[in-house]
Amino acid sequence: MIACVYRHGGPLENLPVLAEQFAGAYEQPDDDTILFSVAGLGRLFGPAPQIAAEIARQGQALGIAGNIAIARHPDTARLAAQHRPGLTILSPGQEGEILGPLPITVLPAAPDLLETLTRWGIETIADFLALPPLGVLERLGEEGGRLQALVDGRGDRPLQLARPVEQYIAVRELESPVSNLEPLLFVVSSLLHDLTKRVLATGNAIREINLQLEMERWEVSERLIGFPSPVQDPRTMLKQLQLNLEANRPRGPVVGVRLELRPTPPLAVQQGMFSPNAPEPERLQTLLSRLAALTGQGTVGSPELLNTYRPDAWRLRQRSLFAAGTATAVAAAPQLQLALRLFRPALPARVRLHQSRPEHLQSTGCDGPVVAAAGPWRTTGEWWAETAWARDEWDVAIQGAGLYRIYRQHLGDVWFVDGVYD
Amino acid sequence: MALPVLSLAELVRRKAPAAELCAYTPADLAGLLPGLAPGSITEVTGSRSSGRTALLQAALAAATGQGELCALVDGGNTFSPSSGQAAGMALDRLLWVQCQRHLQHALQAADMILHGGGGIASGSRSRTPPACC
Repeated sequence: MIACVYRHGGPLENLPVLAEQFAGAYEQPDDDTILFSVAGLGRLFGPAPQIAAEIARQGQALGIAGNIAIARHPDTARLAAQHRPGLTILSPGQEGEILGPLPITVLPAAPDLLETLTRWGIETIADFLALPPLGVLERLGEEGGRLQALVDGRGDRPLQLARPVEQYIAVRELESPVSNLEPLLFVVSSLLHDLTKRVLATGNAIREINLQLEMERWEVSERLIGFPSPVQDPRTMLKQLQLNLEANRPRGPVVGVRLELRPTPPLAVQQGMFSPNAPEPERLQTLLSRLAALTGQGTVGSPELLNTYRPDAWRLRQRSLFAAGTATAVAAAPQLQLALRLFRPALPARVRLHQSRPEHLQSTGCDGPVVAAAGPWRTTGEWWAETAWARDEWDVAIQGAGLYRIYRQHLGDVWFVDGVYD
Repeated sequence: MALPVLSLAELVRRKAPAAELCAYTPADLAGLLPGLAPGSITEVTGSRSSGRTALLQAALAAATGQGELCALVDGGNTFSPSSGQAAGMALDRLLWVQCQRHLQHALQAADMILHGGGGIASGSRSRTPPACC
């Protein structure tokens, strides 16, 4: 037998607590409904009405107000709990009789099917049950047969048990404070290998590591390391932790370590037969971390252009580097196009104009008359934000010094050299 | 060991077998320079606006277009992603390392990519050498 509790008042979080008092596992189809098996509780509490009364008593103690139903089929129990107040015991064979007075619209069915039933003049569940099962099956298909079995208490289905989220946390207090990284990494490595084994046993990989180092005087240093591609190799994770700790050393001796691994399903990448081999994700991850430790966070990745006309608008992503490479075009020799190398930040410049066109450019590294100029190209945008820009761009050739992109910034009427064509 | 410095004319004269070269040179220069030699360092030099970066971007466009993962160690922090995309580069196959004008970091980063860090070039058995600019 299955019990269903439908909550219409009281704390939401107490519903699973109530279920756990009677069963080791439960199904929670929505926030207000919970289903659990009460099979075998008869020896402890007696027949179904006494079990329901005990559930009500415990629910009251937890501050939950709601309806309770006990039935053979979970969906029948749920239907009764949601639409019949108080306690409802649906003994086998009496489901149709008890649910009969309920209107047909309470059935968990598609609106068009309910509309069809209404057109037939079916107003209550009792009317629906009076229809011949074979005829219902012929006219409404499997869905009609399922609904009739549900209100009649026929059939069976296992509960879809909610699994509590398992946490992978290891905590270790050190016997004496540790100042050097090597012994600290030894401790972290031990915890990491144990936790990784547990995660791998569930068939998952790790997407994030949270390392908390407790120092003297209860000071805590926390590090969060995310992986663009889920990792299963503890050596790769240990290397990431080592690079992180070397880049940001703890400010004092460490007296305790707390390590948490956050799992995720592993990433399956199908390599194409004719596509180039990609580096192993673990090795690429280590390489990215080592490069970031060298050049700084936020300086390593794959550029992604932003959806804006703002000049030089991009962001760095790392995830795309882990995807399998595919040829985007038929192998053909590329065409040579003029490339722009930007000066970051743009170089201040002095520009002399003649008939509103640049005649002479003077800036760091380039000084000379303009022998050819193309422009202006005016661009403005994002006036509502701090990233607003408004400028007139020119491409100018400087005698003996190269081809440059310069622009006049409307704000302040100042000139800059944006970059050089090369 | 000092590496020999060869002029473009010398490279053209030597003309290594085509099978050993990656056809990553622009069509405009294919007659002069049939390809880049894999497993070696190719240095492109010239004056400003002579087309050095254009040649580099064309090579990267060809390599990334074939699905190769390429690295660009940007010593001067001057690479323009929009210019790269206009040249035909598949930006999602490009690892861009910005060295903030720190030459030492640029050399170390290139070394990591080639050797220490598992190596995009060696790990992937890629025929594309990581590029520096």
